[in-house]
Amino acid sequence: MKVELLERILPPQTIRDVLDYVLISLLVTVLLLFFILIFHKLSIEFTERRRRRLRARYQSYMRKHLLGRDGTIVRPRSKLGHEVLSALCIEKLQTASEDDREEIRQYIRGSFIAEYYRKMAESSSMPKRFHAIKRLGNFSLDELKQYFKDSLLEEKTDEVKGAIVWAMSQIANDSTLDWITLVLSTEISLSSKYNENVYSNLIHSFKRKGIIVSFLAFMERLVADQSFPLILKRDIIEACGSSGLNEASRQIVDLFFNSGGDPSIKIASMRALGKLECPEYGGVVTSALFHDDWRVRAQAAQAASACSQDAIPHLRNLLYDDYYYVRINAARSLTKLGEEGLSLLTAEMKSDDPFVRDTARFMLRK
Amino acid sequence: MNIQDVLVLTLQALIILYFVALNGTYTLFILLSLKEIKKYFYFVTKHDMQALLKSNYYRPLSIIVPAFNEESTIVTNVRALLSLKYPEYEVIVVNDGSTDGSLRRLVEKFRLVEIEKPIRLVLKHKKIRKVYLSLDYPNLMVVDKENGGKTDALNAGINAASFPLFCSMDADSILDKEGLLRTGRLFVDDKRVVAVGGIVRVLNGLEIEKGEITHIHAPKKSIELFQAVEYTRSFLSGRTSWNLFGSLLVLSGTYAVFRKDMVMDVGGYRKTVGEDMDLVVRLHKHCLENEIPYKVLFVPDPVCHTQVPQDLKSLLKQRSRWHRGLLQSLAHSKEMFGRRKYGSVGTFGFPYFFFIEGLGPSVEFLGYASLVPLYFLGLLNWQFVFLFFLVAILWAMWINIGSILLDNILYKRYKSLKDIMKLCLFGLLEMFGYRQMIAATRFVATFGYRNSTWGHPRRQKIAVVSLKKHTSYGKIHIDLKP
Repeated sequence: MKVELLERILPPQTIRDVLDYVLISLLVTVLLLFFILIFHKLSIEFTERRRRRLRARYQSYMRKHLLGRDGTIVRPRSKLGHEVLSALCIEKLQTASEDDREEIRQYIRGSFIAEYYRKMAESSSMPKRFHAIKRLGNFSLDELKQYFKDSLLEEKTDEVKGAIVWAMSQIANDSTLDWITLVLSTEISLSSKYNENVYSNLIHSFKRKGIIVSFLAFMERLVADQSFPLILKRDIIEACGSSGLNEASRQIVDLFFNSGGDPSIKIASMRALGKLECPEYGGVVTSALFHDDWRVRAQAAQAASACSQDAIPHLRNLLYDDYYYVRINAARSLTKLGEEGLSLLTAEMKSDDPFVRDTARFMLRK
Repeated sequence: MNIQDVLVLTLQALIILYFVALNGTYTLFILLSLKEIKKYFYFVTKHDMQALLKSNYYRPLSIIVPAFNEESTIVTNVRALLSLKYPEYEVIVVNDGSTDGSLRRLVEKFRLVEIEKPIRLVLKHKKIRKVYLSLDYPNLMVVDKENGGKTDALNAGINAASFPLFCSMDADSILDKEGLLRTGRLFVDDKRVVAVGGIVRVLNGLEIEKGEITHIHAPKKSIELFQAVEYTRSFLSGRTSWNLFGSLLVLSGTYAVFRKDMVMDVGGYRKTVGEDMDLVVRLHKHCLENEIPYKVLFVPDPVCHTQVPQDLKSLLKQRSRWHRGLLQSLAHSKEMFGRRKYGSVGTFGFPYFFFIEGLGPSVEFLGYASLVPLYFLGLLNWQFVFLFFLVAILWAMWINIGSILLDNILYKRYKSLKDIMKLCLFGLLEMFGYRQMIAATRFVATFGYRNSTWGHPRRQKIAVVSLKKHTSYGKIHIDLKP
């Protein structure tokens, strides 16, 4: 009875028809895919050859232009042409001297590729907008500041907003510094490393423009402003350290003392001071060796090698600290503190504490 | 309706349901992946990679290479690892009590010296015998320990690692020069990222020079070609789509990067044959239970190339192990199954992996096996069987050609048209014996899923050829000779 019902719902002929239909559809699409695959493979080879030819041509034009032999600027006509020329310009910008960089920017302006990417940045596709903004950021054109600011107002995705902030950091000056800080502290939440990267770009941009004093004034404001987000403060300190901004070491020390009970600022300050190698603040680093938080002690132990010879006896004590990282960092610093540090570490090879003994041996490669 | 009718109908329904679910998801995955991968390529450009190398935009990373009797491949592999593009990293080779000349070769080739490095015993593992450091490469460390299996070696490597991220790698694999940059940058872009995996490709048939892949050819042997098609299909479309759904449960043990603190929080690797999936599932569980914001990501970039088995015995052993590993991992975290508390992982990823990947091979095998009794009972409609098999072949062909096309559109991997044709042909041929053999192996493995024996595959020699033309450490052709 039930089999009959099933056969009435799905008669064998219907199943057969469905299978036939599926078979034919699959066969057609498989053949179609196969031909697309072959056609695509051949077209890739053609595009690659074209890409190479275009690159060689643009390279030659650009060389002549930079050498002042030919003032003509060739404007790309195709999508591929824009991609090839923009990639070439970015490569040149990354390696060129400051004078040549300005010439390359002139070339970018003359070839109107920035306009092409501005148009692409209006696309409804987020990846396309992201790509366009990254390209524009890489061009480092000062006149795009207002454009980036306007774009941020219209942008809805965090990915592209992050790219806009990054692009802005490449051309930063006084006015954009506050804008970037405002966006990072209120609009979007990016990783600490991203923030650090943005502020590092910004510091390099200020250095190139000879306006680093403005950045130091900003750091002063940062010390005084207790309402400023702590996480961002920490990232800015990290950026100062990784960009080698020695001029900011006093402000970093001030931030170390003004950060209240939050250890993250103290840790970042110690890391930055270690990278900046400031012997004048050796006392601050030495005092941090006694901090209650082991993470601050660990960073201070690492920074001590770059900042202070006076830390040697304290570093010896830290070899017996409760925390593994503090011990290792102290031993590592002692190896960098000249004869005095090395002889102290050599003596510790006979320590009763097996961990200290092993650490000392390891550091001295004995 | 008698019992026989009920059984036959149930079996048919089950097989058709499985068939449609499996092929349907793969078809959907290919379409989804195309969009997702194209998006990825807009995000990661060559200039970004160059900028990353010069900037402070990275987190230092330790590469852990567990090695057990890898004498034939270990030196080439470590050399390749030491020439990677990454601002700050160390390579930790964990010699897991090898009985061949692995350690001796490492000591000779890299001028290793014994040191007494203090290692924190956070994760449990077998006793460490010695620790060596290279005189030529300060970022190369070799930990020699008693044999305890791959997971034990990985735990020892994590304890010895100095950096906040670690990457687990097989000793028979070659990492792309920019592979670390491509995966490592995700940990910097987003603080919630706890693990990242990448596309693993077949190493057999490639030419390598100074640790860099110079020529890509399709493998020569049939068994390797079948696997090349499988790898293209599963990595390119499968994992990219799982990534899109936020339910990625597997990151290949061949290459994956993890946040060390998170892995330590879940107790490191557990002793199982599917350690890669097991760790990822436990990370999901740990983060969801403790309400830790997290992401497990997949980079649709061919970051790693691995040697695939060249003989049938090793291949079947490997597939049996993979399947047992999958079932062991699912069984260990069974409380996640279908639970809303575990988000899309519990309600979507887990059931899919259990029903389609876990039980699927059994259904497939039953389908083939049932042909015999149905024939003798006179219940077989040959015309229907033939048409159904034809549909299966064509659909599999669609998926395979679709994956190869996707690979060609996005990565332009194979330079020669002949190689692409070869892959298409083996995508068709896999339906005539190869696929059935793998299904049978996985079906058998289902019953012995508690078995944790590893079985060491036969390693192939990575031969160095054409030294006349290429100095330094020469041009390496992956000419696989037993």
